[in-house]
Amino acid sequence: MTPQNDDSSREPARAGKPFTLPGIKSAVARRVSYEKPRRFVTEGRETAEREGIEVDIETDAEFPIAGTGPALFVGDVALVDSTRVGERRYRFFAPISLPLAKDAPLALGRAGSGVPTREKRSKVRIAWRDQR
Amino acid sequence: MTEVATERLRLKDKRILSPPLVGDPLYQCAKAIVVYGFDIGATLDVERNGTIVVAGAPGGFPQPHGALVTLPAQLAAGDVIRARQKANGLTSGWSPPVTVRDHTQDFPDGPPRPQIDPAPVYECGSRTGVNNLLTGCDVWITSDAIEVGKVKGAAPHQGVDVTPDYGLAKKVRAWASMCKDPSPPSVAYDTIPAPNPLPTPAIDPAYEGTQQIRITQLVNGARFELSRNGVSLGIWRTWGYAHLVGLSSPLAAGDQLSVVQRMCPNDPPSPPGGTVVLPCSALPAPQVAPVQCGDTSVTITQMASGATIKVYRNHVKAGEGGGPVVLLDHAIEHGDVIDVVQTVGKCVSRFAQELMCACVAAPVTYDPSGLDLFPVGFTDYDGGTVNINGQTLHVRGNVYYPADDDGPGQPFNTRRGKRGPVPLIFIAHGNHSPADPSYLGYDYFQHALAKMGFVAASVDCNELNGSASGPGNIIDRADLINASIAHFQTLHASGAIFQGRLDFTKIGLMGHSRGGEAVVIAPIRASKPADAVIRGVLSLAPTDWGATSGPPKDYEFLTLLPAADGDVWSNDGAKYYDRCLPPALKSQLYVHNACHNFFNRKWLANDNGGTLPTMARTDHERVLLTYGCAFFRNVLAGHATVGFLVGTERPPATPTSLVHLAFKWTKAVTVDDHEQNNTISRNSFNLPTTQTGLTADEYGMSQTAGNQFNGSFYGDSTGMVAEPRRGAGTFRSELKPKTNIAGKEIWVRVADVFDGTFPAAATGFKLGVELANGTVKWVDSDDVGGVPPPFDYGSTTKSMLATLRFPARCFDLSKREAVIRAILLKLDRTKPNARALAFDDLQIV
Repeated sequence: MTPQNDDSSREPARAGKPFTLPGIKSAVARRVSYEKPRRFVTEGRETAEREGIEVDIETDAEFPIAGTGPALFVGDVALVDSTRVGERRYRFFAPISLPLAKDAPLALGRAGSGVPTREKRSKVRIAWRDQR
Repeated sequence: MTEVATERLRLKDKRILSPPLVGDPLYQCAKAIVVYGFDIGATLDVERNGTIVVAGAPGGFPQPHGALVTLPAQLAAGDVIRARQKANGLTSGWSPPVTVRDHTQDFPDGPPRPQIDPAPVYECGSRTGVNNLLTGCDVWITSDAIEVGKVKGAAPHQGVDVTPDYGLAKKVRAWASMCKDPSPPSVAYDTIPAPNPLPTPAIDPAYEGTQQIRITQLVNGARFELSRNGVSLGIWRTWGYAHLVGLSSPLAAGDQLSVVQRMCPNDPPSPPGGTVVLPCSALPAPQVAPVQCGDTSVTITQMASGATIKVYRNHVKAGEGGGPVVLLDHAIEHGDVIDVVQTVGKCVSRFAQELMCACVAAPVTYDPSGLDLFPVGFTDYDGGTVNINGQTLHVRGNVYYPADDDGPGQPFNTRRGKRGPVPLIFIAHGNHSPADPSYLGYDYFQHALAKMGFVAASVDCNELNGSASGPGNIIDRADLINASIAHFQTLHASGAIFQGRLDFTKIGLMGHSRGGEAVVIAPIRASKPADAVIRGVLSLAPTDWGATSGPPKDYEFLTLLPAADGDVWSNDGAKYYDRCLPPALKSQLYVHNACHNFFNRKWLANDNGGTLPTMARTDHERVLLTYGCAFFRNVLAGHATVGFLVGTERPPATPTSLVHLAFKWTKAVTVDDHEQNNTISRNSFNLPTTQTGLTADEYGMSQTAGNQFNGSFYGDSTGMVAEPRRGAGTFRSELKPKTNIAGKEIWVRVADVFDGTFPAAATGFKLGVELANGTVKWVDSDDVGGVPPPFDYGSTTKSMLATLRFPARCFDLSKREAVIRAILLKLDRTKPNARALAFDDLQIV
């Protein structure tokens, strides 16, 4: 039997951001005092702070290693200064002056290209553990 | 461009023969010149300083490399050389003159480096092609340092027969000299066994009456035997790949041709390949490059072997020659209809290629990455450690440089070193798995830069890869780049290879991804050595982590934005381009079908997941090579390569149709960049604008502006969006009195505004100049290259502005009319192609 010719139409282009973001399993925040002042950068300007807030999250998968990277939304505030501290564990840094609401909803997005937006919302809330 | 039946055109044959072309440049001491573009079998005359020094030289076949005409005496600097042809009872005019130069003016470090082309070299090979030669130089080949073949007075791409045939595992090199000035040796090739079995050669379609055929799939250095109807015509040596064979008599339709190739005597020949000669009726139309109004020649991109090209303007013959370039009797004017046919013997192609000139059709010229002057050395460098923001980081990477010979740790090129220090380029990769040596991924770019005389270092930033993110990570990368610059200063002071060789007043930076953001700020970091001067920055697919502040300035700027970038998806380099305040020039390449990773050879995955159209990795590299080399050559060495960055010429073998350029000269007259906060009713001169039949206003063309037209803009500029109404509408911008545009161009950035639905067809507009008497002369955007369609990126498709050039010559102005009083934009497309257009940076250049 002669095969019929397929005539499917063009596949629509998919919106950007092909990387899949992980989900948040837990989040712990604490105020931290630094022996040596820690650098924070805002709009290209560096400041050195003796105190900061660190938010440790555990995720269900790794963030891809790329030009862009993770952004943690605490409410409307996006934290983009981060480091990977272990398997599926990331630490986000914020200056002490940054207002982080205690019960704010969390979400993950990506930073480093364009304006970070919430891409994966979470029902997890931050557990606060002050260590001063 | 369309194919039209030749018979229908009723073309009028005028007795005209185009002048041939003399290969340019010519240098003192040359013993031969190359003449191109004559008719098959024409005789050639060569004139030197008004005196005919060669008369009636048989030209033979103009393809593939023209005729090498030996001169009675060596050329001297200042000589003026012309040539003409005689064929079919006609004598052409003289070719455009070529003035002989001293090669040391253009090549102060000696003749360029010969290239064995094609490579590799096989055991039992009998002939080798050598490329990248100065016309008329001497070229020779050595096998294990023993000369085995030589040609005095060579063509730019010269075949050299070798005796004896190559043995196995011999080191083969090509050498050249001009005026007893030696070139560096070519890359050394060790001879290897030829393919076994040998491939079957093929013959391109041959047409009745031809006296030349093209054989392909030949092995480098093979001998091939050609037969016609079973009778051997002889044996030829070939440098390989393809070979054009001239025959003593024309072929007839139905003739059977066959060819076999041989290498070592004890190995069997290839299977025979062959073809049957086709009748006249099968002769196709030639293929022709687009022509630009004002051109005085037509370039043929594909023609039958042994064909002659005839060009007709408005159905009357205007030129004839052997291609690939045919000179015309006068310049092509707007509205002229050009028909091009090819003839073989008595056959005329059934179809003609018909085209009209475009006002702007940037020609494909030369390869700006192809300048090959020096052998290339390379080595790792290790500058110990440096403390950056509390981290102990290694200052290390690798570096490519012009050397005395190829290979690791070779001495710096002695001759280049004596002439003075050389510019440097530092390359910084982006974030990727630390397990991969990302800094090794730009070796192809480093090698290209080094062979033209730059030192190109790639900084190993792997200790900053993998775990940390944020603007601080970008700043650390910038400081690490600067630490490498500082380390090279110590190598310049006392290093074994680089002592006294480096020019820190001419530094270029190239960064990719996070490295692309880092190079934007490295020049203003305190870590930059005080006496290091950054002249140019190439920012490739840069991120925006917020490490920058204020406009990039004090260096020339080029950014390359991959439209199919699946990582840095918002093409943040567009912001840096918009903000940048360079001393002279900024340029932006928005490259359709380019992804983020394929510029780095160590980054293997397609970051967009393969669901966006993505060109081959080799095309990515080609774009970076050609435009990147054009940028650094211009900025650091003053070479005349800026045309590639402002769209007046295009590089060959590069997907230029996918490269959409935006560019801006700092010192040009800006009519309106919409940055003055003086509303849409005033331009940058603070002179009035008016609009009729459309709706135009100023909008923030960024993701964060409060007054966006819509969310499809990703730069950081204020510009104008004009929306069409039912009929044609115009926007008029008044100029200062006595604005004269004679010899100038009008540039404007424009984008097809993405409104959420991908357009089915391109849109466009007209740009007009208003004369002193109120008359407006219009040129359509389609006549200058057209408004690029957006790149389909789904819901985040971008309205990315590209610059269109409207040369004053397009408007057909008299001298008096060149004084204009306004520039107008007209939106005149009808549905469904009537769409909003974004404009910015209206300039007179």
